[in-house]
Amino acid sequence: MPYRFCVKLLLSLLIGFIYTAPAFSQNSASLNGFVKDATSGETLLFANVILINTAFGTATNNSGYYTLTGLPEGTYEIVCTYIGYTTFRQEITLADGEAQRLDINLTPEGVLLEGVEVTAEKELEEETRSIGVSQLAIESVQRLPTILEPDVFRSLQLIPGVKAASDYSSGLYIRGGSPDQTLILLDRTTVYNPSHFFGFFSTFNPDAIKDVRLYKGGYPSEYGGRLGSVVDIYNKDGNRLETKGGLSLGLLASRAFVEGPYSKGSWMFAVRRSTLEPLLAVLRNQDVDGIPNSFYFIDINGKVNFDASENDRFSVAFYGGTDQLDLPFVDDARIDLAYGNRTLSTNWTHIFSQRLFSNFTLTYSRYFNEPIFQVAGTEFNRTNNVWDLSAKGDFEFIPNDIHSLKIGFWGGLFTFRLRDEFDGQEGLVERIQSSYGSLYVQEIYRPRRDWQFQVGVRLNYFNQGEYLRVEPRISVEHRPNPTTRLQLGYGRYNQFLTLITSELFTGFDLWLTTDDGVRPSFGDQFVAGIKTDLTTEYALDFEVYFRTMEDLFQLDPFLPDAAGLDYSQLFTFGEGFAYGAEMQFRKDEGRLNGFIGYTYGQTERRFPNINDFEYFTPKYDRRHDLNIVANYDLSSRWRLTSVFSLATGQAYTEPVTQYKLLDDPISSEVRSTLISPFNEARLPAYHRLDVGFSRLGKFFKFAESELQIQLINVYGRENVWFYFFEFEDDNTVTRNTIPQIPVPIPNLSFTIRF
Amino acid sequence: MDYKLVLAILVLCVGLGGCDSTDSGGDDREIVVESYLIANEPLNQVRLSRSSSVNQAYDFTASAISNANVTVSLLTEDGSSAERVFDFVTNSEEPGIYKPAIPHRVVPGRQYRLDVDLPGTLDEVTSTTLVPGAFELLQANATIIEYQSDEQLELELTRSITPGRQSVFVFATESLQPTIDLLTPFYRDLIGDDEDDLEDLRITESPIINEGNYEVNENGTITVKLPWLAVAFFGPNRLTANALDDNMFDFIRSQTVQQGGSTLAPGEIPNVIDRVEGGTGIFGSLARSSYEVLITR
Repeated sequence: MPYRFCVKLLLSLLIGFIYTAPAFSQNSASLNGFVKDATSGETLLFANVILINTAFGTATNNSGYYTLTGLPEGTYEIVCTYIGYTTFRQEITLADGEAQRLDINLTPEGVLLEGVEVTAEKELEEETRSIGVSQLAIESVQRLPTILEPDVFRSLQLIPGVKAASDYSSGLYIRGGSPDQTLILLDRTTVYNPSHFFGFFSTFNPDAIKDVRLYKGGYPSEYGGRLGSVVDIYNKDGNRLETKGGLSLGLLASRAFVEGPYSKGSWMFAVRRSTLEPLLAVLRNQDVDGIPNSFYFIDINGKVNFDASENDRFSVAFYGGTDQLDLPFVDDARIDLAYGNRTLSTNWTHIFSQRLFSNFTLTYSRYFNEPIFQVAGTEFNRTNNVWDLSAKGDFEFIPNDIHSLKIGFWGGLFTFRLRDEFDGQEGLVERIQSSYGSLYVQEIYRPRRDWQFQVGVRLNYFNQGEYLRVEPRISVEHRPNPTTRLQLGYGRYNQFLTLITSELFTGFDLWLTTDDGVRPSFGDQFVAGIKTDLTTEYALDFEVYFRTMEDLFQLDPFLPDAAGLDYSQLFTFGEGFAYGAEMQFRKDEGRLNGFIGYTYGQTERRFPNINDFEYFTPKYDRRHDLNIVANYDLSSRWRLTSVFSLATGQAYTEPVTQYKLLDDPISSEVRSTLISPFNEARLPAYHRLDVGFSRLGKFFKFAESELQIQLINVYGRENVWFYFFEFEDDNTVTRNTIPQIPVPIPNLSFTIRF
Repeated sequence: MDYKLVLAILVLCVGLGGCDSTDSGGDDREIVVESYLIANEPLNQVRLSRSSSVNQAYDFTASAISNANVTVSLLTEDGSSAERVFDFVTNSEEPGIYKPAIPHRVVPGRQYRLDVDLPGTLDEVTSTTLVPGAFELLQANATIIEYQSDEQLELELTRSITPGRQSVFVFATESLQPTIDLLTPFYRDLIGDDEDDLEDLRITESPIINEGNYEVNENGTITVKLPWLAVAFFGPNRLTANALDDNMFDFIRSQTVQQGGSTLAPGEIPNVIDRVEGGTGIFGSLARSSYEVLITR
């Protein structure tokens, strides 16, 4: 029902658009331009731009560009805001039919003298309070107490609706979805395994990133390919005004970045590498068992911008990251593992006119994962590669203040290769190459200032299996008063890929695709929300969601060997659903700021051969989840940051009865078996407190410095990761507790920026 | 809305919801059967018991069921009815163990059905197995072979036929002289000096391996190679290739997952896929062929 309704509504809006667009485009004035950081020239994405005391307002797009159209002639006060920056105000006068270009430079709060008023205007926040959307300030990623290294995904895990599998995992479990249901984009390029240290960290270096945006659900038509959510990350462009750099020394890894201008644009390079080698060498010299011969990660980000003209900007961005482990264990056994990602994107932003904005991108993404096991003279090795080459284009046409139209395409070639070799003999060999394509059209219709309709449809095609899918999306927003937004959304989503992963270890992650007999997954999402500004300082957001997951396909967990099987026989097919409510209470400004996020969520799935094909709760389900993030400026130099988390224990299986097979003709070992209600028990409640202090200062008068001292798990809570049930020689069963981070862990880092 | 009220609601919600909510489920003890039919070998015994609580030490004798009526039937070619029925009997000295009253050699490629009936109750347990087609070892490339030398032991086997699917094998290496000083380096380091674990290593089994891993020779046979990983002891070893029926295939692949190592999250323990109606356990069958080899250092 919602499906047909959305398509009809979109058609009627488009027809209305065609009829009304010319009338508005003839005599009205328009205002457009980029919003940039005044100290670096970096474009600011999703900054808010409004004309005071009018109905006109918008936000900058993914390129930091804004357009206000349909403006009557006259004099206005334009106001631009962005979190962490002082408010920009300027009076402008527009003549009848004038198209005025106004690039806005915002000054960061940090460069101002004390006492200058810094107040974000809540009513101006446009995009960042859309339904299902959260934006993450990179400064907060760098300030939050963290396990050894600042991490984008671990910061995202604090947002309501986003859950962590464990202290050891940076994977994103969003609104009941598994990590593969989230599309991860870096400069518009898909990243297939965004992890370091086998899941402990995400791959994104906070020094290189300027913007992180999370669409938790009900995401718009311009995105596609995943059932659940989108994380859209953009690298910095690089400083367009002066050469800057930074160096950060930490316990686990060290980072360096440098950025600067050149005659036609800017550039940025950032590198991060783990620095565990000295510690490993000491342990090795002390004959400690299990010390790897090699264990490191490295990643490099870079971007070069070429500002060809006022209306044409080109950029090339790349990312390369690798994890390497060479671990001998017991006598005559060894694991050698390398995995990583490479991405390359070239982007062209072209402004056709004050009403028509465009962006074109060519992307390349490669994921590789090549483990080798050598045990007692027998070698097993696997080669898994994903190559994704694509081209995408987006057009944004804003003829007036009532209509805004986005149209775009995304097409490419996806290649997947998996090869297993055991003891010199080739086992499973799969190579799938599929072209894919999608088209979308998305209309934002604002008949009045207090109503906004966003309707879109996305058409997806995946050549492998020849699947064609239509995805309608719709959202409605009503503002009964200036401080309240009521929001509703619906969307249909399809997914042509599935990720084979382990919560224990992401180094062996595999991506598999649909094919004949393996239908794409699909699901519907229904979202409703209320966003309110309680006062000028406090905001409260509340959202509820319900989503379905149909035709889920995953590698059969009981599959012992894939050799000789048809591709479809590798999978087991299931379904699921999730629903929940999220609340976020925020205070963005002042000496004390932060947020309280609470989530009630439930997700269930069912697959054959598990729980008699009845619905069960997966391990990552957490009914109640509370996160409190608080920052307090003790002085102009000292800052205190703390994070407290409290959540329902995760689901697990508590065995009830057992038996043993005593006559096994194959093995001399008794085959012990458990009988259990699947995942019907809950681990003890999870809670943890992290605190951190940072001190700003000068480093030999030529650089700014920041010393961070942090303590993770302050009071040493022994949260349970999982229980492992072991059969003892005396025929009893012992429950062993595998803890999450069980003791307080200090973290120290020193950063200079020059 | 007063923000203090919001805070209070949040704290209350989480305070209530964050508490432990442990549900250990019921304590249903199931009837457990265990029996294996081996192609061209005599009928094996049937073990019958009930599962026992994980909170107490497992004791087969204490869990044994000794008053059941147990039969194994050879079904007709189409599987629709019993061609022959074999009664199984127990005695007081071996509670829970039922042995065939008359000898019978298991026919490869045929179906057998186990029926268990507990008098005075409604409990009935049945399970059916299709015995894999027999196969034989035609030749091997060596009788004595040096451990981890370039030349590995290769066996040429005729193919085992299981209708509707490729054959699946488990290769077992049984040491005929399992002493601690004969352990190969990997296994020696694994168990240290604990001789109690030697029995567990006496027979080492491979994971389940599909026939698709092996190339079919021009004469229709397949050649399998013994991975060195399968050799736990130097000295005389017996290598056995076991072709599994569906019941054993399902049981082993799912029982293995109970101890982790699959794509399931840690702490998620699925029940085994047992193909037993009215109970659990295994009524499976296999075909096998063996070869003896001397592994030198």
